[in-house]
Amino acid sequence: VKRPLSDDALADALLVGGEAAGCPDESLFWAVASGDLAPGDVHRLLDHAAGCADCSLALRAARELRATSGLPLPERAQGSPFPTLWERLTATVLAPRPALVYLLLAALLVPVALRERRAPETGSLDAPAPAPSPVPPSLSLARVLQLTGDLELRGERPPSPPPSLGEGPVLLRLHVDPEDAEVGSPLTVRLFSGPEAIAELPVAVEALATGTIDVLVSPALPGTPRPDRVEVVSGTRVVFRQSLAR
Amino acid sequence: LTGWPGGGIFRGVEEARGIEVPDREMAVLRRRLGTAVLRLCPRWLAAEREDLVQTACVRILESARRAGKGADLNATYLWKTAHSVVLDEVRRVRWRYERGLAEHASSGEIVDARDGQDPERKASSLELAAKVRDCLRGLSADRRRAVQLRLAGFAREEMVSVLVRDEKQVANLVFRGMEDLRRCLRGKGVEA
Repeated sequence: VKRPLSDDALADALLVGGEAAGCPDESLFWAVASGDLAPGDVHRLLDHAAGCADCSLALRAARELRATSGLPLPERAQGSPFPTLWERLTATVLAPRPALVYLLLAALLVPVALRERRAPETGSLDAPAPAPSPVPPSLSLARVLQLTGDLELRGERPPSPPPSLGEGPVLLRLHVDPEDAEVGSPLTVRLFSGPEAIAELPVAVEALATGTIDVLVSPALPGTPRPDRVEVVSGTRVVFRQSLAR
Repeated sequence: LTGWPGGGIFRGVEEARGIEVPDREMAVLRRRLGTAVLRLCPRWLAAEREDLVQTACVRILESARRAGKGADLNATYLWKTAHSVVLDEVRRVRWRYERGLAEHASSGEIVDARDGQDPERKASSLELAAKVRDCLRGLSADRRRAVQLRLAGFAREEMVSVLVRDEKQVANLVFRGMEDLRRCLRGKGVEA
């Protein structure tokens, strides 16, 4: 019976053959496993090791020995599996890009809010008007839903049940791989309800630089369907697809 | 290391070489070294594991002795030495293995990566190694690096730290990279 190569077999295959020339000092691979190197240096070492069995071995040995040594990891490498509230906020809704979007939306909405507030003032001059909020409540309360869109795009079984939008506002953070996009093609986010596209949002191609696109889905208006699928299209190619629970 | 009390796992080895027996920390190192080598060694090195650990321990002791009792022989020093020594030993055994493969190849006896039934055996052939490496080099840089770390045994949270990416991005890169790698190998006629 034929069975596919295991990950272990693939890993073993990297340790034989290859050309060893101009190899970096092997202690640098120990530094990689210890989390002591800057990302740029790590990249250079890995790029070399891709064609070098000796350095692939050095990397694997460093990782195994470092992991079993019981030596403490430096602060950066330790990381916490449970980020603090502030770390979570700065990584999601307070990240520079969403924060900028909120600020722009707030700036656009303040005149609208003020205009709406002026109308009832004509009938009740005595009633003190509440101070306008700089950020609409629906935005400040947005929940962040991170999606990768890999499985469905590749025709594999999606997670069951699909991620739920819930009731309130949701910020969909779509992790799109820039490699999949067609160079120079327009980028569009489409929200579907059943087979029908209910929203189509053009996105600046530059958004792919970080590999994430943020889409704010606010609570549905009466009679408006909630989306049950989100897609990202680059030119003619779908580069992201994820089903959603309503 | 503080002091070198006698007895313990190394007795036979050290007596033969005239090296003083280390303290409990060395015994811990020896045990952990055995665990790491067990996980590190490819299948084709399985028969050599015990010898490899033993030889590595002797060389670590020799290195520690050369450094002198007054030196700062802390655990980090010992493990860095272990890394260097284990690498040397695995390379030495691998050289013998590769030479054997090459001799088989020249006599037409090599296990062809496409003919063998056991994929683990296939993985040991130079031909397959070349294909895997070729496909790996064909991946986009980000995916390739993530796959390299994954195949070197790095856990996802370790990769987050090493690559300075968030966990979602790392998962994405590994998933897509492994898919690309296997697709490329299938394109080269490898059951992957």
